[in-house]
Amino acid sequence: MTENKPEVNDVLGRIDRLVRPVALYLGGFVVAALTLLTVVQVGFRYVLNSPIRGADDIAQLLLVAVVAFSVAQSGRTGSQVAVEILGTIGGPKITRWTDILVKVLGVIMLVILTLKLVDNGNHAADFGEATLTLLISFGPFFYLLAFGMVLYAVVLIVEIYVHLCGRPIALQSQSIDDQ
Amino acid sequence: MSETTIGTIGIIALFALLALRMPVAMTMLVVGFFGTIAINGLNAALSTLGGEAFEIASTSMLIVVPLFVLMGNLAGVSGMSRDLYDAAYAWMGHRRGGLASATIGGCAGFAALSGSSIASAVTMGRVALPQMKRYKYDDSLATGAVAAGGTLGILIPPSSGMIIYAILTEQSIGRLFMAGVFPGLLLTGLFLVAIYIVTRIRPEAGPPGPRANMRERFAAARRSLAIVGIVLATIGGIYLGIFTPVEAAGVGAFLTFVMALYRRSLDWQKIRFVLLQTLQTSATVMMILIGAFVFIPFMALTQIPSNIVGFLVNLDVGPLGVLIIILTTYVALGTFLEGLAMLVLTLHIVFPVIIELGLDPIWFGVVVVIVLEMGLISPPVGVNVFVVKSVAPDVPMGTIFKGIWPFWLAMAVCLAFLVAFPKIATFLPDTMFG
Repeated sequence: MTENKPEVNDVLGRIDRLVRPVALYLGGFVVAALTLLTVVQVGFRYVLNSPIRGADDIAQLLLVAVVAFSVAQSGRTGSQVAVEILGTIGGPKITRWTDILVKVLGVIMLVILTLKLVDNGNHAADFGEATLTLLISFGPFFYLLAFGMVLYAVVLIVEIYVHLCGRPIALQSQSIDDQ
Repeated sequence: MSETTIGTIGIIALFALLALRMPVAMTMLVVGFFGTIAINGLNAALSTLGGEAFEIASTSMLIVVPLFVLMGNLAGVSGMSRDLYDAAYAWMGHRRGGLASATIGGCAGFAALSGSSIASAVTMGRVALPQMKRYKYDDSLATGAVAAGGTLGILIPPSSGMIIYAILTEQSIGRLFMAGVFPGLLLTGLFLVAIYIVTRIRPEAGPPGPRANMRERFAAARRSLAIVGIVLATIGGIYLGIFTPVEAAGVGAFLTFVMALYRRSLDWQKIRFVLLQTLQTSATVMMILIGAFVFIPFMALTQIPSNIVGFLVNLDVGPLGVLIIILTTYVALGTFLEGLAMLVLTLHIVFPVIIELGLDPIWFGVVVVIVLEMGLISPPVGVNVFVVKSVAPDVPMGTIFKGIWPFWLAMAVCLAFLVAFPKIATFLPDTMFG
């Protein structure tokens, strides 16, 4: 199976080409919007003495979008906090199989979470789940968060495939020069 | 099977999965979800899972996370950290151990812009370590100063550790931020004392650098004024009640962005880097909180936390004795558990004990953050030590850990001061909020 090296590397490259733009462009836009909204809100409140109605609602929903667009990227770059003792004392032969085990568990968990979020989204209107001021339904944002979780699950599935092919997982570069 | 037995199995599974390198957030999700199924059934577990995940992702108070992280990252890539270091260097560099002291000063200044100890250690390490190498500083002192100085990032506000503490314990982020100011300054001072003592004992460890004249000193100080202005606008704004923490974070990120544009230190490559780093860090914090809020209700169902609370409160050692037991346990856990993981895994047990003993929860937040800092530089898994190692790959790990001890002891002294004089932490929030 290790003969398929180019294909194996390509599958990681493909998932990076999906996950990274989602975080960079969609997530980046949302973070910029969140910053701008907060500053404009401060300006209106303190300078013009006229708070923007519903700005807190929008900010709350933008935060959901931040999480949705960034969680898969965080998983793909190894940013999620983990205890690294086994990696130090074990070595790749052991961690290959333990990584497969924990990633399978992770996929199961994320699939359950995704299904539950979709279900909550389906029933958000029934239960009146909406923002406080503008009454924007949480429904679409449950779906958005579910999208983020399913993307994270896809990242883990691809990484499991790479482990099974006997290749090491190359994490996305964190160097400023490679951005 | 009794609830306590299920809880015990859950805790064993938790540590087993953590040891297998499962991310902390995912571990808490898995154990919390399946544990709740075992006690309360599938419907209750699903309800907790979906409800808590969305609840955390839409908690308005947590908007501070991406905004303060953005501010710190912008400050890091735009060279503001270099200005801070240069200013501290101009005023202290000519003294024995002066470059290491300047590193601590720079770290303290950068900590007021960044809530991350890792960001502080990386940013300041890149600036300060080559300088200290140039002036033949002892590797252990140089790397120890960077690793320890970096930990100030989570004590001096804004602080990611305090945000997580505030969310988990339902305390005010603004109060906690204010409570971190004086202990942060105290710890900075104690780090400087540690450097002084080390270079008194071993003068060759930190030879003096060249002396800057007064014009150079004031010029360096002037260049760092913009950063001081941003810090005053954000942290000062919270203290004076002008801004909520969320507003301060937004204004701080915006001002830092404007300043970076003014200095022409941003290009598309750096903007991409800043955005990706900001999103990754934010997702990490949010996922940990989602995991914690699924795991904690499971633990509450098992009644293990309440049993431990009852046991600790009824110990015949007095509040101080219980506190020492808790802090000693934290220091021990910090040697192999990552700081944030330790916080989310233990706080639901420890916090009720603190309340039961009548101790101030804001003060305890500061104390816990200092213990987390100790964990960040404690062998064998001190995260900041690995960060410094990545910046100084030619320095052996053993040398870095050797250089850590004076600073680790300074943290222990700071902790002792805080236990003896809680007002160090509570004075500012009390004067602000009453």
